Amino acid sequence: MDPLTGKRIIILGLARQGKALARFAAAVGASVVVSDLRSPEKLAGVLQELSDCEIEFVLGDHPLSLLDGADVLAISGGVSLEMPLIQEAIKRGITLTNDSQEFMRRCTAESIGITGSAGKTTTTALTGVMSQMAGRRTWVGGNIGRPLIADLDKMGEEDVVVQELSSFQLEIWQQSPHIAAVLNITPNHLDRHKTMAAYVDAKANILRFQAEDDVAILSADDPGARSMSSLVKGRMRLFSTRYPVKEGAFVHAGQIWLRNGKDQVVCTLDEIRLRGPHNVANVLAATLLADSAGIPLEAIRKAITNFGGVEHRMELVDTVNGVQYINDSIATAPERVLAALSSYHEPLILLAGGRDKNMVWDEWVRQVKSRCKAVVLFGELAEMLAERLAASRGPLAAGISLPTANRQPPTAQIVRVNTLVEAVNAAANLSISGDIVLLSPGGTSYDAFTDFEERGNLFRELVKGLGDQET
Amino acid sequence: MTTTVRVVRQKTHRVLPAIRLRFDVWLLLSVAALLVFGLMMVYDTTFDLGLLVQDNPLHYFQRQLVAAGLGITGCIILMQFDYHILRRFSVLVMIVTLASLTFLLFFGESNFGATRGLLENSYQPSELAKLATIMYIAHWISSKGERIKDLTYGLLAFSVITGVVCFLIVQQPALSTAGLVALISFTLFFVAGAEWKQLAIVGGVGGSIFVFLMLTLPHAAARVGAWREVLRDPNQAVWQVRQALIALGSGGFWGVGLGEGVQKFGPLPAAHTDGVFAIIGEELGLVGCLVVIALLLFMTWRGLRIARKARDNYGFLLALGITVWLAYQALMNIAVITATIPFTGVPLPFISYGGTSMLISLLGIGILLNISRDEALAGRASMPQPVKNG
Repeated sequence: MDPLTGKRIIILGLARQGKALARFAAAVGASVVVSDLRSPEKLAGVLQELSDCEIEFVLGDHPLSLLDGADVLAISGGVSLEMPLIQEAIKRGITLTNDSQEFMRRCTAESIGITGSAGKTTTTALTGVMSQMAGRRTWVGGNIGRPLIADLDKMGEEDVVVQELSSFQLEIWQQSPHIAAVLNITPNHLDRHKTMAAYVDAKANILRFQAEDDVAILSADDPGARSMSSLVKGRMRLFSTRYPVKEGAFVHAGQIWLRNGKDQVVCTLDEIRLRGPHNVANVLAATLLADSAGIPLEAIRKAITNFGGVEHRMELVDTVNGVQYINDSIATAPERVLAALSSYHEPLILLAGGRDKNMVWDEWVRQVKSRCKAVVLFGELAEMLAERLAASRGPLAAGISLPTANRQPPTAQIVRVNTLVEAVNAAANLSISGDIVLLSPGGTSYDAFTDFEERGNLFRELVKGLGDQET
Repeated sequence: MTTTVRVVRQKTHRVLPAIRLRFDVWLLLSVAALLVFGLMMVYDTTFDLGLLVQDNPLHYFQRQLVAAGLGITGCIILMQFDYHILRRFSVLVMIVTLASLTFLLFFGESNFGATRGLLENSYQPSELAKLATIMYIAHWISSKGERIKDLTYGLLAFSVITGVVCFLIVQQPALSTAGLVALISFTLFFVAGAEWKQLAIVGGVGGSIFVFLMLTLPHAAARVGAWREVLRDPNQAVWQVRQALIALGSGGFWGVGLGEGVQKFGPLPAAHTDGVFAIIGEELGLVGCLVVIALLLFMTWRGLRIARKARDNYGFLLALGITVWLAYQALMNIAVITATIPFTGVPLPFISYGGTSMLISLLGIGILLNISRDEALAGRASMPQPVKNG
């Protein structure tokens, strides 16, 4: 019998995760109430999908009366715990949960959880590929992709489940995965968590409820992640790009090493297909996660040398006329652009713009000036960024392009356009063979697109169009 | 060692008070400048690593300071005697070196596929091997005189000495260090006036062995292959070299400012040891690099000058050996960072973090300063000529 059987569960929000949980709860015999702020008209499609389940809907509002007789309240990631309804639920002693927590409670497969402020998605995807390379049936999900609770009944004990977990999801967790990794903790989502301490506290739930036979993997390079070592109850393994750790994975002499009683070389840094120094840490984390799950070294190595990245995250779209076009549409903050800039050593043409969310651009200006041969600005941010670049002294550097035989010294310039279409055309005209055109906007996509994926997809199409013109 | 070594014993090796402080001040100043600069760079490149590993940002700086302190103390002790006293210890130091190199092969702590250190890696016998070989060969050649032109006495014995040391170092494996030792020995053999036929044989055989090893030892072969790619396109450089080039390139002419670099925080492995020159380039720019190179060149010039003014063949060879050792090593380090030669890990004297290297290099400088007093000695016509050795 399932713990939810016979219980009254209230699910707030009828998005991807809420929908999957509602379906699951109804199937195990819970009495399910789903509430969403949107109107029945807007939700018609979803309601149709769920018409085969026995679910009660309260739409257009979240009235306090929802809580009457409720045993469990399920919330989705976007909802703040400060919300009056949730505060009331806590007061009444109603258990808070979410779909990933309910999934974890029932998961019998080898469970791997990954959290951190940056690099989660790449690490999760890479760990999944490692598991697949080893021939294990692999389920990748959590914060990304399909909610795993929907596939619970298909999973076996030999399967591997890799979950990306956000601080929002972890905030209410009472259970930790068998293998948990904290990649790094930098101030993020403070609009939601209010204080850094609360943010760290939420992330720490990924290993707080572990037992002695569980594995906790922490970054040794990141003070925030490392500070969680005091909470580790099971086996602790560290990873570092800086120094050889006692037990874990690290970089030494240009190679990645796995230390587990003995030292083994995983691969050289040059064999990593993902670009950029920041991805080395992600590779180290994935290596440790996979090794802890019993994935053989050969499969780990094969995944590292073959995995080229996740969509819209420094994804190589195509090479046209010797120019590589990179889609990093996910970069909606200057910090992410900096990570992308440091990943390439070729001459860079940066496409930047979008909508600002009051971010600090000083370091962006500095790095763009020293690393890019040209910047094409588009969208709402174009004017502000153009002013900032013009205000800082000195021309754009010739980047860090290394002199090769037949390459002309790049001409530095700032180009202002309105749309992404114009931006891609401008970049194509500016580029010569050997350059990289990098869409790493730094601003959000909401000025002209529904989300970063739509922006990235348009970029891809435009690049494909460039390729077609040539042939 | 089967070679007979004739040790001429003198009654005393005390230094005349009149010349006690008449050493080469310029050499001292250039090394002091490099040392201070190096300590600054050690702190610059290790403060966060120290914080991560030991919870102490000064951890590496303090260790380096202790090594420098030991080295300076060693220098001061060496300065109390005439350097000819070292002849008595040539064989002993060589035996200690060979013993520790051999011991290392059997009982050393294996670290990442290579066995290079003892006592938790704080003592690396191959560093001592450089100075020991110089001391031994200078002693041996100067005591043989013209006889090094003889095939058996000269070539064979020379090859055996150098060969054994290099063989033991190659076993670690540390091919570039072995190559460095061989190159220093060869230089000494050359300037001592070996016949060109001997030089050709030694150069040919030694060079062939080196090239053979370079192409057959797997990690060395891979690096040579990668380096050939670099000659066509620097973007194909191995990770460390590429990151070093990025550091040098982003520094530009003036650098991004001391302490402002980012390559040391992960992207460039070994930023505090073999890669420190790249960080100098990033933070202090071309100007900073040129200052370091100028100091090294100046030090080399003073060293060669000291060799030329030495009062006998032993002093000449010893001074020359120490000078070319430091010069070759600096040259190799900078050549690696600038992708001029295949990648290998060699420290930059007085600047890279590393206790044994620092200590032994400073002892070498102590000996050089000691020899530099010969010039003052020669200026004093009334002085009795020192006993000729060999």
